[in-house]
Amino acid sequence: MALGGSAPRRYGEAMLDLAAEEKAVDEYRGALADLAGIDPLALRSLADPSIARERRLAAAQAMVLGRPPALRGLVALLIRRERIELLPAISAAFGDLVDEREGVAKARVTTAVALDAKQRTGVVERLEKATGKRIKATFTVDPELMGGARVQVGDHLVDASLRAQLGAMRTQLARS
Amino acid sequence: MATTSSEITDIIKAQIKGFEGRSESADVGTVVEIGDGIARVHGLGGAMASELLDFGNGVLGLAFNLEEDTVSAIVLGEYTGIKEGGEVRTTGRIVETPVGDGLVGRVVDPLGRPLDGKGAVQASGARPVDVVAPGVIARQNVDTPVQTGIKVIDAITPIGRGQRELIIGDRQTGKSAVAIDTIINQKGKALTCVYVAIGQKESSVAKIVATLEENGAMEHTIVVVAGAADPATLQYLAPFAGCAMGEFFRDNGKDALIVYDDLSKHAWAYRQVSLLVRRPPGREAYPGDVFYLHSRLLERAARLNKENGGGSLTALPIIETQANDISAYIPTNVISITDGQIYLETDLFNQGIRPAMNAGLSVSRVGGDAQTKAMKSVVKSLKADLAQYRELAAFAQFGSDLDKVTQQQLRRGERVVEIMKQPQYEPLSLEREVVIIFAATSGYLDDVPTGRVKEFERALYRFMETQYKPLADAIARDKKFDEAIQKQAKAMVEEFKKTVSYADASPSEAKPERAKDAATS
Repeated sequence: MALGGSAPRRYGEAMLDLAAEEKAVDEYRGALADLAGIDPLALRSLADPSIARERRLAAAQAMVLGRPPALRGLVALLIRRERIELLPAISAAFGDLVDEREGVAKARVTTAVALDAKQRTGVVERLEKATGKRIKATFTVDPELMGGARVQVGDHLVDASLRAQLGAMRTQLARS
Repeated sequence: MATTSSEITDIIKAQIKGFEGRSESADVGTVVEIGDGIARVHGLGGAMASELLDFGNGVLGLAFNLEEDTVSAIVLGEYTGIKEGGEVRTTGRIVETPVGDGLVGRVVDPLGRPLDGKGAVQASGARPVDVVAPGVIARQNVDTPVQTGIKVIDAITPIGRGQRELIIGDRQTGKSAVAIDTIINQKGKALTCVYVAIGQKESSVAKIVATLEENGAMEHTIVVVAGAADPATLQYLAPFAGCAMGEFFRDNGKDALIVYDDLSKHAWAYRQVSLLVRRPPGREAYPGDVFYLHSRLLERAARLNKENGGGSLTALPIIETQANDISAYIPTNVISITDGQIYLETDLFNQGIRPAMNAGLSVSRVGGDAQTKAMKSVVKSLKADLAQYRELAAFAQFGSDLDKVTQQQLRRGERVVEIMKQPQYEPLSLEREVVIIFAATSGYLDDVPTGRVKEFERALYRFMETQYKPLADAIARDKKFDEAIQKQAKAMVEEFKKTVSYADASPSEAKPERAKDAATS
């Protein structure tokens, strides 16, 4: 979720431009995701102002050794601007931007009972047909839905669960 | 309504049969911040400006600010049930309020929910609260009067149907009283009234409703209340909702009158909401669009032409000033938007001149066209008499030996001022207003001591309605005061003066209240 201001998205956009110039978008995505996955404690020490900035910079540069040059630049810049703790958010924003560029939408499918692999591909195929985008779906199970499914693609929600329909019926009955 | 249990079962059966198991489809977001009636919602990428949002459990909100990642929404009503992380859905609707004849006589909140315990509101439909005002093509000049029943207003600052006339003054100068009297006087005059109380004490509102009921004025009145304890969001919506209810009558070819009591508190509510959603503050910390807020509201008062049904909506906004400062931000804004103002002053009020209208600073920019012929023909010399009196009164305090002409002008002025006084909740009919103003400006009161003017006035009304009924009826019917009628009126007043002599002050009849009036004038 891109909370905490628009800074991560701005850095993400800049990185995407650079990556696209180098035609290495996927490589950058993987590398950023790796970096974002470092120990949170390590990330916090990198942002710790009580440690001399040169030492933190040296440590960070050792960490990104052998990574693409723009990534080394990004980490150095973030250390210098004291914004290194944005790294996970930048990675997420970068991923979102790449998905958006390639027409990939994220979907969250919630069902009352677990779906098997065949049903899952069926759902994804139907969603892809409906939205015209490639769908990356995550599946969760929530017995409280009682039946049916609830699908959220981006901000858009289609609620075809039994719970929602019973709720609608209740408000309609209460109204009249 | 008595419904037996078997009927209920039947109703439910029919509804279950007709219920279509559709899947709901909406944009959703999550509440990330909630407080002070403002919710910040992440997501809701597809929300429209001013769209209604569903916070669940029947709580609704209004999309107020659309930002890059978030939407700032104002919650309409109780917001304590909303939690961080809660789901918010778009509804595809904008804020509406019920409208129709069924609302007349009711006390409702801005969303049309009843507050008077008289059961559900029988609305004939719903209307969006914030709509664009009618354009130039649909409008027509103001040409029919709103009889306020208040002599000084009907004579000096007449109000036409479709006009916006501001009532402005300090606290306790009788602003609401003018509006209430006007509403009371509309009994049987085919003019539906909407009284919008914004940020007022519930006790004041209850008193006003009781007054209206006592005088039989609730039969043609809708009261919309967003009290002092209601959230600022509802206070912000109240005038727009009331206006939508009034527009229903306007657009159906009928006449309506709306009182906004008062727009200063509305501006405060809007300032609070705007600052909470972090819109930049401007002068006096009001947001930059507070002028547009009031201009788009008051612009909806209009007189429509025949092709559009010929209905009208007259607006009487009220503004409270601080220490007579009419050059503060909100007062100047609303003065410049409206078609004139009735300026009430504390000094005059304390001198016993009630309504405490300052005749010099009060104007009506379009109402003159709407004034009845009868009134128009008697007020000409009235305005001159008052203006001369105001000029001379200041000098006369020092001069002891004034020439005859000056003395005469002063004497006339004093009587005219006395005639313009009027007690609360006693609006007058047109014929009474016309006859008393005619008598005063023609000099028939010059020999009546100021202390007995009120007595003279009351007796003259009685005399006219008993001895000269045809004359009174003729003025009321034709709304004219031509030579023939003038002759009759003259004869009547002369005859009346012969019946009782008011030439000298009669202490025996002077009631304490009247004695006080005499002392101040």
